[in-house]
Amino acid sequence: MSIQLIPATALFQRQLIVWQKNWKNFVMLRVLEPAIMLYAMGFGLGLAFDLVNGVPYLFYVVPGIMCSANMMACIFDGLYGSLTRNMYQGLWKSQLATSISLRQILLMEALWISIKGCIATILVMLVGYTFGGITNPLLGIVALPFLLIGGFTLSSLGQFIAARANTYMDIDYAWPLVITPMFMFSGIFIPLETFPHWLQNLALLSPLYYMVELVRGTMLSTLTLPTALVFSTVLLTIAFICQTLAYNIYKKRLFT
Amino acid sequence: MYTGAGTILQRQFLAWKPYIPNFIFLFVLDPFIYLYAIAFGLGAYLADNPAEYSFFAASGLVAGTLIWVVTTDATYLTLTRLNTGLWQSQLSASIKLPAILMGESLFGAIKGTLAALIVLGISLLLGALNLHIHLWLLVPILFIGALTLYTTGQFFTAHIGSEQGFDFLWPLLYNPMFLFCGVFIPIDIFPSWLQIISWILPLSHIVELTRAVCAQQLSSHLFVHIYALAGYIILFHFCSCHLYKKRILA
Repeated sequence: MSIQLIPATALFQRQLIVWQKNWKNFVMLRVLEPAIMLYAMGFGLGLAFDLVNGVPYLFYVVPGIMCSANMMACIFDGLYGSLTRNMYQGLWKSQLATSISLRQILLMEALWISIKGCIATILVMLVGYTFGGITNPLLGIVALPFLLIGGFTLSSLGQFIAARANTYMDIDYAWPLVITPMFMFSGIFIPLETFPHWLQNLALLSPLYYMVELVRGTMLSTLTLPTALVFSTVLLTIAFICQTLAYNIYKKRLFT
Repeated sequence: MYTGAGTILQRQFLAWKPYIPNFIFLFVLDPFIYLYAIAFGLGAYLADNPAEYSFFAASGLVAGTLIWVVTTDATYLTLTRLNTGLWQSQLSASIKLPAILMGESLFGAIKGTLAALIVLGISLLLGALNLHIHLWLLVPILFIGALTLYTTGQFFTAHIGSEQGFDFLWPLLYNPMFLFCGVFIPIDIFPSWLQIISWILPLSHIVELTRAVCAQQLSSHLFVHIYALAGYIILFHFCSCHLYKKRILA
């Protein structure tokens, strides 16, 4: 096993080298954009809103936007990034010609994407802290494992959807079917209780919902241990299913 | 100078034809979701008047949709056409650069207007907006608005070398436009320095016009917004002509 890990770390190193070139773009897109959204939502809408479940709207929305930053970073790279690397650049085929396996590529890419997602989220959290939307920034460190698991699940979901696509245009279908509903109905900035029951039940299918609940619970110190365990398990289960499905589809496409 | 713009428009349509199913799927289902979530979900949490907010958000989102449709075309696809040498081939076919830019932006504006009208239809279905005779005015207004956004996109793309450059355009231009131009958050909630920026950005004028037409509050003051949009179109179109000419010759 230890020998098998070495090629996988090489993959990690490769991603790191690429990132050294475009981290500025990443920060612009994945940190500044949520930060602007935080300002508009937290202050703009916060003025118009009453308390949400007894919590001021700004405190409610900051953990939500943190999760949305994580989601955007992870699912985008999972979708468009893996499609680019596999279909457009042919990178995976070259990597598979070495001793790296397909499973390692999928796993390491998802892991790398989720680490990047965590970096974006923490920076967004610091912006939220300067706006006064977070009481204790150290709680962000406690929330890190949840963000990592959630990011991993979302990147795996992205990989799974991208596995069936041939061009960027094919991904258009993922927007109305997966990304927009997940963004709107996971309690990021609109409380889920606003919607009818069938929609609330549908939100249980969204991995983002579990991540938002875990992170918001941590940031507001209302999370209980059983909830944390159950929700993390659900996220890991979704991640496992997506990874397996993505692996099987890619295996068929790349090796037959 | 503009002969051949019609041919370019036709070319754009032919290139778009295979993607019509994607377009319909994306711009029927996606607005349905965000209209419902924002106009009704968010509206229910606003203290005073949910019906008033759903009108506010729906009329804003009709105009706000233009950003998504028009800008991807005006930014990423324009750069692709430039970098793959399509423009150079068109130029050698004795079509002048202004005609290419104008033909492409006219087609982009038609596409944008179509998408915004679909969103309008959905808002009427959901009951966030009311059907009335003056709604036809939205067709020219949305068209001018889409044309403004398209020429703005062309102008900024002229400065950008690779697709990575657009990563800076979203947080600095398009995202602020969507959030601070009154699409679903009222402009007057923000501090005055930000309101000045909002009124500089073209989308706020499009939103203002759309909302006035939806509410049937037509007055001669609205011409100010039309003049502003027309000014942007002329300014950005001629600047783009100049910039792309320099870039292609270099």
